Amino acid sequence: MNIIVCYKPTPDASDIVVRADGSISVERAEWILSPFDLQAVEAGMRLAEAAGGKVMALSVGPRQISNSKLKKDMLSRGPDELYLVVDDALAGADTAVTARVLTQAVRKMGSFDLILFGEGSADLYFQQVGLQVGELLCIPTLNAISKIDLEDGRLVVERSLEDEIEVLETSMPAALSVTTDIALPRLPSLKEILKASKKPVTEWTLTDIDVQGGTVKAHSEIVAVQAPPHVERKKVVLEGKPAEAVQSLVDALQKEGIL
Amino acid sequence: MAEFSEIWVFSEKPSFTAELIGGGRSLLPAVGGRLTAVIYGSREKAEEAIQYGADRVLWLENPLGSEVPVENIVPTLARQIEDQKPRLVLIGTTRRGRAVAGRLAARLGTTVITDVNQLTYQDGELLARHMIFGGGAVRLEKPRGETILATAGLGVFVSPGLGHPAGGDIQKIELVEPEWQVTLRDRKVRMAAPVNLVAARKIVCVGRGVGKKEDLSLVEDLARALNAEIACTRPIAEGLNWLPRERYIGVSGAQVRPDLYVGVGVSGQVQHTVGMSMSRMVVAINKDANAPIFSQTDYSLVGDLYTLVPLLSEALKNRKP
Amino acid sequence: MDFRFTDEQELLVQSLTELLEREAPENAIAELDEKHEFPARPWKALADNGILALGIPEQYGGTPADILTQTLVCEILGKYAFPLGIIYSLGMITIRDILQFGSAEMRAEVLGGFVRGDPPIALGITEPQAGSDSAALKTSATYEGDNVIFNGQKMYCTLSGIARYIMLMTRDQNGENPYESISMWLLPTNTPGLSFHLLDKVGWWTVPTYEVFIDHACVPRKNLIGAENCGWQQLMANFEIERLALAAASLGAAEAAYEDASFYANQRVQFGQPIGSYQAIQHKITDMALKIENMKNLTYKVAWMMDNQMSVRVENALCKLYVAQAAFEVCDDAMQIFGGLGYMMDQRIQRLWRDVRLMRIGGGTDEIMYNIAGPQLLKKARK
Repeated sequence: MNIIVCYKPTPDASDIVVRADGSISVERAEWILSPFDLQAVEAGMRLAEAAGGKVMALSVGPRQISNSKLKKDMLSRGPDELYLVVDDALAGADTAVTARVLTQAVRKMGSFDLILFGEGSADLYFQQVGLQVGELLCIPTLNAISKIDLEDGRLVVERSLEDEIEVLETSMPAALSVTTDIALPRLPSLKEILKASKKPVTEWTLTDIDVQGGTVKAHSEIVAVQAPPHVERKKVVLEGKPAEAVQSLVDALQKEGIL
Repeated sequence: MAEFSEIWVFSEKPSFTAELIGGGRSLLPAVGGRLTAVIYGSREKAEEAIQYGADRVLWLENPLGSEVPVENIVPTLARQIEDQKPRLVLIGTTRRGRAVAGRLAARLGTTVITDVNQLTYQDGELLARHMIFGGGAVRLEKPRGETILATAGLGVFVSPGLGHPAGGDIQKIELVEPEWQVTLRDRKVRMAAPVNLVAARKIVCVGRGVGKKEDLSLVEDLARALNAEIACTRPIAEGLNWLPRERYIGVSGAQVRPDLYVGVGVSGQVQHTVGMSMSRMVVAINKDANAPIFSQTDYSLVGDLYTLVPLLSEALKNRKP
Repeated sequence: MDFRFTDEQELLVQSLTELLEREAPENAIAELDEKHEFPARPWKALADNGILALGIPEQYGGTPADILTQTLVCEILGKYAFPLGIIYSLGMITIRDILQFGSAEMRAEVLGGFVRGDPPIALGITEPQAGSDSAALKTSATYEGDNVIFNGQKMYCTLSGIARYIMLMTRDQNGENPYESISMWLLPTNTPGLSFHLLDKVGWWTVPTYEVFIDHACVPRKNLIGAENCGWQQLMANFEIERLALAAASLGAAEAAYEDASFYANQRVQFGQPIGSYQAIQHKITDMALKIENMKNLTYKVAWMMDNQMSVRVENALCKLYVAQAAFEVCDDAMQIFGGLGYMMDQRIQRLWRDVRLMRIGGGTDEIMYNIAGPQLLKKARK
């Protein structure tokens, strides 16, 4: 069984800096793997371990994704091989561009049974790329998948919707975007971390996968990225014995007209 | 300068469609044009859409008892969009809605502006606003392309109500056979009591500081004493499954603006607080003096919630009106 | 000079930090501490995730790792779950002594067990009359046919009541030189004749310490570890790494105290301002950060020297001496910054303060560190 797991390293959101004019900078942030993607990797690993098979990790983006620690981090989670399409033109690429580049890379990687995606990326969380890639590849594509099973060469999945869980059956190859509760990611041991640097890594440019310059044109103009509006809070700490503090709160709420 | 000739709205949930119609209509006055609702369902639903204010309905009949999944209409929708080239297609953000939007985007060669919390028309261009970085930042963008795809969550727009006269333009459309099929084997209904957090004026929110599911009764007492709705942070709904998904407040859950938000054992991670930061008054109860929530609180009680919450419920019940 | 850690070390730190978040979050550690309960589940989680395999040869299920990597592990354990850092450090000396001097059978049994999650072997050396003067120990070993009989008493024998073995130090009182009369044995804790009396301590509540009474406890002769009368030298071979490990764990605890205090300084408002805006607090925080920086540099350097087969006799003593004192000072300053809240049992800082205080005594007292370093330093200054 060949499973491809797509992932997107992003700047660590906790390193966001708000400039004086309210705009956001991630220049000083380290790029890290996303827990959403690790859930997808874990789902892929468990399937490959149960059914016998290989997991290939794939990512496309600017040069930051080619950082040695990031590559080892991904490989230490279990995938057998790593594929990257690296081009600075992909910095800030929108979902349509990302999906197209991923699709071309997948075509070059050869045959596969499943492509897995995390619920969304850690930075934008638009929850789109998995669906778009599946559609571009003309294969069954589903989101919100919380359980994956194989039955006689068919895929049986559970899809977690708001009011219900659907149990669906479809054929492979298929593209699945998984939910956060599909699998708790394993934590790499030192043994797995050391093995990572010995696994094969393939890096392509956009030209290697036949993507023309025009394909990476943006479909939206970003006007601004700003810190969210800030509501000034009173920050009153109600002190004293519990009963007193609680009474102060009730009095305050009454005075504010909330009660 | 682009002209808005058509705004289309779609959701598999009728209540959502009503809100989207309201939202779509609010964009029309600036440019003229027509609002079309895409309805996948019964004739009654199509007529209801007209009464909510759609100028036109594209109706794909879904006979009662049919098990055809919503997603199978993607090729049909794509064909209609390619033929008629609406300027904007607004889809309701449910999981199904996301799937429809994403697959349409791939077919149309464009991107989707997801989870907008504001859409305005400015100098001939659509301006969309949504959150990124888990609520850490707001992004403003101007989508490009012939047809713009966008999704919006519940509560972003307001339903106009069933005020419009019936008997509008309802056009039946035919299903385009999808290229691949998914078979529905089973449905397991999730036990979810209907709750509308977005409409609640007072909310008591449960966080990880509450140790056991049984302790929710403490919180329920408080909610009753306050006449408040109960909500939670994401781990309570999705990891621990103590409360249904509809009750979680956060960047990927409900966004609320109550008069009063009381966080019980809520640490205040930004992914949560972005969903309640516009509350009029924020109260937090947490024993960790360093919890991030305290920097976003109006009134803080630093201490053991197991002591404070019952005392608060009592004090509320006994207060002089 | 490249001060950076390798990718592999950083990834291990990341993985371990997340493991501790899942398996040993602060509220779990606090609860265990309150109950005076050994952290069995978190310790097992360390085993299951290969942390206990570090530094142990592959043939016993281990993963080779250098001392700097293990030092980092101690630091991270110390920072997020200090009890785990202590337990791991205590294992350093006994596990390594078995590795270096134990028979093949002992190695397979003990090292394999440790990797799988057994608590470390307890070191039985200190006695009521033999603390810093450990060579004054009196527990005896008498041969009887194929067996050896032990009689005596051990004091402050940490983990012995829950470990599977004690590494027992005995002395032949007839020997001329006490340091050449000490032998090292592997004593199963379920041997008849042993009784354990739990001691009540100011801190280290989750790491039980016992007084052990040894009354005619009998084991086979082959339980001798290494060579007869070479116990002292064998023990000294690995005392340095244990001290380094304890220092690293203390450094971690100091970092936790520092973080708690500096966050608090930004939150706590008095006289209309956060207390972190006052110079008194800023100076304290700066002193604390300076000490942490010094502790790190000294600890990492000693680890690096040991990995490069350099003698660390002086440097190791300096490291233990400095870190034990500085780590406690950081915890003490942190408590001061917290004010009244710092004295409350439901805050972390009281536990760090209580637990770190022992470091100036356990694993070799400050005074002994001076005794090791002083003469060596002056020796270098002679012509």
